[in-house]
Amino acid sequence: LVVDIDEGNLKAGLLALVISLVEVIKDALKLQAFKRMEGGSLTEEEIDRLGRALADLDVALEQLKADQGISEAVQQVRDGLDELVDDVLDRFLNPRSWLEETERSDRVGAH
Amino acid sequence: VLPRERIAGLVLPPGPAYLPTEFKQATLVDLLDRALDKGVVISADLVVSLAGVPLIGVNLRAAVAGMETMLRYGLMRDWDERIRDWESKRVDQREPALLANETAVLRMHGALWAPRGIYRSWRPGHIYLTNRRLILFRAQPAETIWEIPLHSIRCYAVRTETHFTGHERDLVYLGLRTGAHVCLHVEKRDDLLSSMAAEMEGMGIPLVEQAAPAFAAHHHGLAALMSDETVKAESKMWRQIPQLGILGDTWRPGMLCLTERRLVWWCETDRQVQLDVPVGRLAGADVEAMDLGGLVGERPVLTLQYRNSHGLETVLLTGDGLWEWKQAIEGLAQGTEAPRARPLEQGSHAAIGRVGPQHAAPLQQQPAVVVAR
Repeated sequence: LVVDIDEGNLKAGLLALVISLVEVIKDALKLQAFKRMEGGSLTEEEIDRLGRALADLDVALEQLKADQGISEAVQQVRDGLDELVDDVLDRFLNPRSWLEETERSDRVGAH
Repeated sequence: VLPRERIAGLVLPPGPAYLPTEFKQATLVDLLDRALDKGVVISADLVVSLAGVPLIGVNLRAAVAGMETMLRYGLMRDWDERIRDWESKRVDQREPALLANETAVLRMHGALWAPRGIYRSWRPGHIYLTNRRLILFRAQPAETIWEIPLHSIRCYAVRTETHFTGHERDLVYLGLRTGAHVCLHVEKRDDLLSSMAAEMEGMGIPLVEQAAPAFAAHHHGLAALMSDETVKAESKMWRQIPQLGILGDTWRPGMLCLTERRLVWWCETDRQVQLDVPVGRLAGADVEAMDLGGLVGERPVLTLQYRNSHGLETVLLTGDGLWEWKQAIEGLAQGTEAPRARPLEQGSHAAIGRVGPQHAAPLQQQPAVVVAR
């Protein structure tokens, strides 16, 4: 994951980074909210309120991104984070391929 | 069956080399969701050390999981019920409560700069202008963050400042009759100011516009409505903050600033005016050597005295040009010769004095409600 930050885009980049983390938390909250709704302990009224609050949050974040012109930057950061997670998980789940990769790079390094 | 028009939106790659694809990448959200579903138990002992000397110890036992998982394991059940119960009983308040014969005139998005306490930031909400008050109200969770009667507003100034994102935006400074000021950012500035002026005119009070102050523009807290003042002297100056709680006396950096009307010390670390003495209250100044302890040792210190309602107060300052400051202040000090007992003998609690316009508590600011969720 490379976040390209220089003086010019520092503020926008930083904001994009923060917003993308907020988005990740929001998405995780949303999934947990679905679980609670399916769990059956919430009342109709609570489910309604929860849904509305999540929708409001969506709108507010979209608005903020549009205002600051960072929609694309946020998407890039999120894609980068997802790739990173996928990569790390892959190495955890398939240690063999990781080993092969290291050996390959060692061989390349030796040449 | 997918409707035809939805499939028609997809552009198919040409040729027979077209292979089926499916998005199978694990995302960060997936990871978080899986972790929250299973639950994570953290057990950690941390020692934070600097230069090999342990300074802070952290002993952490934490369990983090989605609430549904928590409940499945019988954890936090009481909390869950209590919080939901509290929320359901709460009156759903979407508008601020108005007084009898009070009507709302205007409503818009806005934010107030809250310079006090540990939470110094913009507090967003809705600005309500009524025929009697200006209110900042937040709907979720409902709280009147700030309110002020219109008759306590004296003047306003509009200043363009750069937001941290790089956007330039206009901020509205309201000067209050108490001498304090507040800083607002509102959605429709002109509407608010014109309606406010109209309402106040109806009450027989003029709302005066002041030119935006050029003075000390980088001092956010000093950007008080001082356009009619001129800076006579300004320099970096350390001030002794008398004992705070378990801490001994400490020295804080800041700016000392003298205008024809007052002497102001602006604290760099707290970013606010912490000393504001009208010139007529200055009683005298002297420079004496004092042992500041630690690595600094003995240094010249400016002991500044002023009168408030309790009597004589002393402020200790140090920095460059102390003799010039002494002369300037002595030139302004009126009335009798000030006694110059060493402030250390008097006890330094006397040095607090009048602490900043923000601390004069002209605003009925309610404490933020913190709900543990």
